[in-house]
Amino acid sequence: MITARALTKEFKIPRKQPGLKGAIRHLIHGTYDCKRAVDGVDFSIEQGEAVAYIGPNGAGKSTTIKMLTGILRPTSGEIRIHGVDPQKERIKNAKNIGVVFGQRTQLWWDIPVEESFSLLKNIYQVPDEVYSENLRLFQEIFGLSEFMGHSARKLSLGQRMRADLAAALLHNPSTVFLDEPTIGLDIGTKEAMRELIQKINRERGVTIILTSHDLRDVEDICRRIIVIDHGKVVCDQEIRALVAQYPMDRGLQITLSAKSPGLLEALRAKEGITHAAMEDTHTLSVEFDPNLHTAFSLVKEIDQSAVILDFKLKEPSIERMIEQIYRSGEGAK
Amino acid sequence: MKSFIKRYSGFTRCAIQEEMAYKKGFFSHAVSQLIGILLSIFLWRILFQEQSTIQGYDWDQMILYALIVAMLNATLSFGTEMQLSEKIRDGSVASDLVKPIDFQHMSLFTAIGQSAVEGGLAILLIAAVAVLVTDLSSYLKPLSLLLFAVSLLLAFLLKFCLAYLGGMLSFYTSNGYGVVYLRQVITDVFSGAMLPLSFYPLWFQKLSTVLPFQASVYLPTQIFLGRISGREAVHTLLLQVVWVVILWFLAKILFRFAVRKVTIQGG
Repeated sequence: MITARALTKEFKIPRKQPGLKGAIRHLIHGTYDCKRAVDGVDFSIEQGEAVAYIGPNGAGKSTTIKMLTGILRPTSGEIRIHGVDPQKERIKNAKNIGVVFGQRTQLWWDIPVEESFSLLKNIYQVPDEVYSENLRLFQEIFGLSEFMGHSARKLSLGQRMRADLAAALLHNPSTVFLDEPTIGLDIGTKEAMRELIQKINRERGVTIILTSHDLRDVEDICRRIIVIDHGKVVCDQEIRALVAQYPMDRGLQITLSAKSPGLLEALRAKEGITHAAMEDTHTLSVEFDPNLHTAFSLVKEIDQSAVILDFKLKEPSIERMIEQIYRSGEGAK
Repeated sequence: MKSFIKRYSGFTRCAIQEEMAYKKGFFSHAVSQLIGILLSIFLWRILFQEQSTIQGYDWDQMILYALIVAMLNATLSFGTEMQLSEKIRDGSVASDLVKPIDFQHMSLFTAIGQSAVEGGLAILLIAAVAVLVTDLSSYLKPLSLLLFAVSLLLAFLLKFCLAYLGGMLSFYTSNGYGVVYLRQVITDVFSGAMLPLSFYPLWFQKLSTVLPFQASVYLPTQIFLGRISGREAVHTLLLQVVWVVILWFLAKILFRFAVRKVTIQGG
C-alpha cells in the first residue's frame, strides 16, 4: 500500500541577471523564484493496482515519482510505501521497488548487459532460482539473448529500454515505478513493454505506477488514473467510472480551404456546441452534444459559409477525455 | 560482512571491466605515466650533479620519493573525481539512489576497481624503474615494508575521501572542472606530491601538518624511506586512520545535503 498525504515539493530556482555582472551579483546576493512543483497531493494505492499518473509537461509527475522512490525530499507532507518512509529509509524502500526512467538508463555503459544484470543480482541478493526464472520470462517476451553480450552503449533505444525494464524487474519488486517507459519507442517495442508490464501486474500482483504521454500505455495497462495539473490532483478515478461519468461529446475535425471570419463565433453561439477552436490556420475542431446535433448537420451548415476540404469524426477516447479534464482545469484557474 | 562484500564487490569488477574497455586509453595512460617518471628522474639527476644530498635527501631517497608519489598519483586519478561530480550534476545519480546501496560505499568499490587497473600497471612500471636506477636493498626490510603497505592502504582511502569530497563540493558550484582542478593543485602542494614537505618554509610545514593532505602522500613516503620508524610510525598510521574516519563521515554528511539539491531538472 502506497500513501501520499499533503505531499508538497517546492524548488528554489535561481534568478540570474544576464551577463557577468548578473552572475557576480547572484553570487553575492542570490534571488530565487519559488516554484511549487507538487502541491498538496493526496492518494492511496493498494497492492496490485495499476495506476496511471498523468498530466501535461511540467505538471509535477516526475517530481512525485522521484519523491516516492526516495530520490527527492518532499518540502512537506508524508509518504509511506508498505509502511516505509522512502526518505528516512531509502535503502530499505529501494529493496522493494523497481524503477524505470525512460530518459536515462540504469545499465552500466561499457560492460555487457549480462554483467549489469549479474551486478544487480548481487546488489539485490536475488536467489538463483528467481533470477533464472525471471531471465526466462524476459527472454520469452523480449528476446533479450540477442544483445545480452553487448554493452549498453551499443544498444538501440528499443533494446536498451527492454533491457532497462528487465533490469528493474530482476529482483521481483512489489512496486514498479515507470516514468515514461515507452518514450521514443517503435510500436513493436511498445507492445512488448506493455505485455510484460501487464503480465507482472496481473499474474504477480505487482503494483504499477506509470507516467506516460502515450495514452495507449494507460488504456492497456492501468485501471485507475490520477491526473495531476499544476502540482494538484485534478482527477483520481477508475478509468471505467471516468468513461461513464464523461458522456463524451462527439468531435469533428474539419479542414477548411481558408480561414472563415465569423464562423467560430457563430458556432460558439449555438446551443449544444461545447467546444469550437482553430487548431491551426486551416483546421477547425468542434465538439458537440450528440443529442442536439449530428455530424452531418454540422458539416452541412459549415459548408454554407466555408469551403470544406476534408473532415474527420473524432470518436470518444480516453485521450479526448483527458484533454477535457486538462481544459476544465485551466478553466477553473 | 560477507554479504556486504558480495553486494559491493560487483562494482569493483565492473569498474575493472569498464577500465579495460578503453584499451587505447589504458595504454596512453601508462605511457604518459612513464614519461612523467622519466622527466622527474632527469630533473633530479641535473640537480644532483652539483651535490650529493639535497635538504637531507640523497639520490636514492629522492628518486624513491618521486616514484612513490607517482605510484600514489596513478591510483585514484582525476577521472574518478570528475565522474563523481558529473553524476551528481547531471542527475544520473538518480539511478544509483533507487537501488538499495550506499552511494559512498559504491563509489569506493568502484574507485578500487579503477585504481586496481591504473595502479596495478603503475606499480609494475615503477618497481622496474626503481630497480634500474636506485639501490633498493637497504629499504626492503619486512617490518618497514609492512608498515608501508598499511600506510599506502590508508593513503588510498584518504585519497578517495578527498576526491569524493571534491566531487561533492563541485556540485555546489556549477563548474565541476574548476573545483576539481583547484582541489588537485592544493592537494599536490600540501600533500608533498610536488616536493617533500621538508623543502618548504617552516610556516608552510606547520600548516601542512594540521591538514589532511600530507597523510595521503608525504607520510607513506617517510615510512618507506625509514625517516619515520618505530613508535613514531605507529603514531603516523593512527593519524592517517583519524583523518580517514573524519573525512569519511564528513563526506557522508555532505552527501546528504548535496543530494537534496539533486535532480531538479524534469517536471
